[in-house]
Amino acid sequence: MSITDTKPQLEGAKTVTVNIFRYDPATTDKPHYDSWQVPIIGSMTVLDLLFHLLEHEDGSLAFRYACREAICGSCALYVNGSYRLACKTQLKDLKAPEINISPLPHLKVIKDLVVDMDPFWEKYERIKPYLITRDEPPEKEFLQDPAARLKMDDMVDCILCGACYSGCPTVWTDPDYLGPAALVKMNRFTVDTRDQGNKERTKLFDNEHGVWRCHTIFNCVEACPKDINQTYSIQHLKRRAVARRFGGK
Amino acid sequence: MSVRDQGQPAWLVGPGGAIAWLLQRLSGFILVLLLGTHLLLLHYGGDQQLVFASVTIRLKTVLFIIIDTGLLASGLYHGLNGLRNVVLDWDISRRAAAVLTTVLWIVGIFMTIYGATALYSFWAGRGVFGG
Ligand code: HEM
Ligand code: SF4
Ligand code: FES
Repeated sequence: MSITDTKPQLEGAKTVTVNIFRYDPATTDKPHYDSWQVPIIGSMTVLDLLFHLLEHEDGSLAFRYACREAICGSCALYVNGSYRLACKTQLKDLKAPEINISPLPHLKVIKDLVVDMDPFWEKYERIKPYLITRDEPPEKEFLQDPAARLKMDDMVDCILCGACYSGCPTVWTDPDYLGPAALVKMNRFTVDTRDQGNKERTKLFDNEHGVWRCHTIFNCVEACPKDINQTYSIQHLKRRAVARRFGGK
Repeated sequence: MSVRDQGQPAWLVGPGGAIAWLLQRLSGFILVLLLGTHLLLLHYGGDQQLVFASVTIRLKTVLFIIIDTGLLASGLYHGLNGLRNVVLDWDISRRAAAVLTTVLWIVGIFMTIYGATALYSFWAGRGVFGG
């Protein structure tokens, strides 16, 4: 039985044309788009659509996913000209007769919709994305009052999907630029009242591949599926770097 | 190698441009004020014609000299540091960045002095070039 034999019979179901970026560096094929007609079933998401294609059209289609509920950050894609999480985007919300799906732009394609995220993770590691403490740890937990917690409210929502990183023009030209997500995480620890790593963190962002490469283009803010304001975080780090030059903490 | 034990990594080009960033903002702010004043006074204000006599009078007025010197210095700093920002976006080497910064400072200082000689030519009734 071929995989198409199990195709759901959806007589009369509304369909949509889907164009998907295909590329397999292991073959000599050039990158191209494959098109299919796909039935829109209920509140189908872009991820459901990809599964539909995988099951019924082409078992070799490569894409990433894990949680299916907008929390793991694996499924970020470029859909109809916008950065979106495949699992969080319903087809009907796209309100378009055709759907174009590409991998995150400006990153190396491994296969089809799967890109190489290594540079993203490498920079994330650079900024020491963990709590740094010097004092003896407290008996129980580290206490933090609600007002202090509120200051990092938007930054802790980051799911490390890489959309902002892929959309940042400085990342495109400077391969060493830390990028928005890593800098948001940096700011998250900088404003964290429990963290004592300010001194070693500062030299990691106050350098020519750090915050000074940000020109407040706001592409990251536009790309973020979690509505995080990366530019605000980066500007906050810039002000902090200047304050430190004048003896601030 | 874990991140915890890494030494000074090659990408860490710094210390960074905190002061340059601050000065870019400050010169931008000064430019808003001075460009505004400059345009109002010279292009929209009064019925002054651009003739030798009026220019001579202007360049003998303390306020004009202050405004124009400020405009010259802040415009040059802002434009040249802006250029430096643009070039640094191309991940050039630490050495090239240092050479660029030095060259731009030399160009900036030279052009400030050169511009100032023109501004101060009628100051105290005589030109800097003796004219
Ligand atoms: C109304 C006056 C002006 C204001 C308020 C202003 C403001 C700014 C600011 C805030 C930046 C920093 C952008 C960043 O964060 O990277 C900037 C960059 C820059 N400015 Fe201006 N500017 C003014 C006039 C000028 C003029 C007259 C020139 C040309 C001489 C100029 C050339 C540049 C350049 C080349 C950059 C670098 C571009 C970049 O870093 O993205 N600006 N300006
Ligand atoms: S800041 Fe937003 S776009 Fe960037 S990695 Fe985090 S969730 Fe994704
Ligand atoms: S599959 Fe986890 S965020 Fe979409």
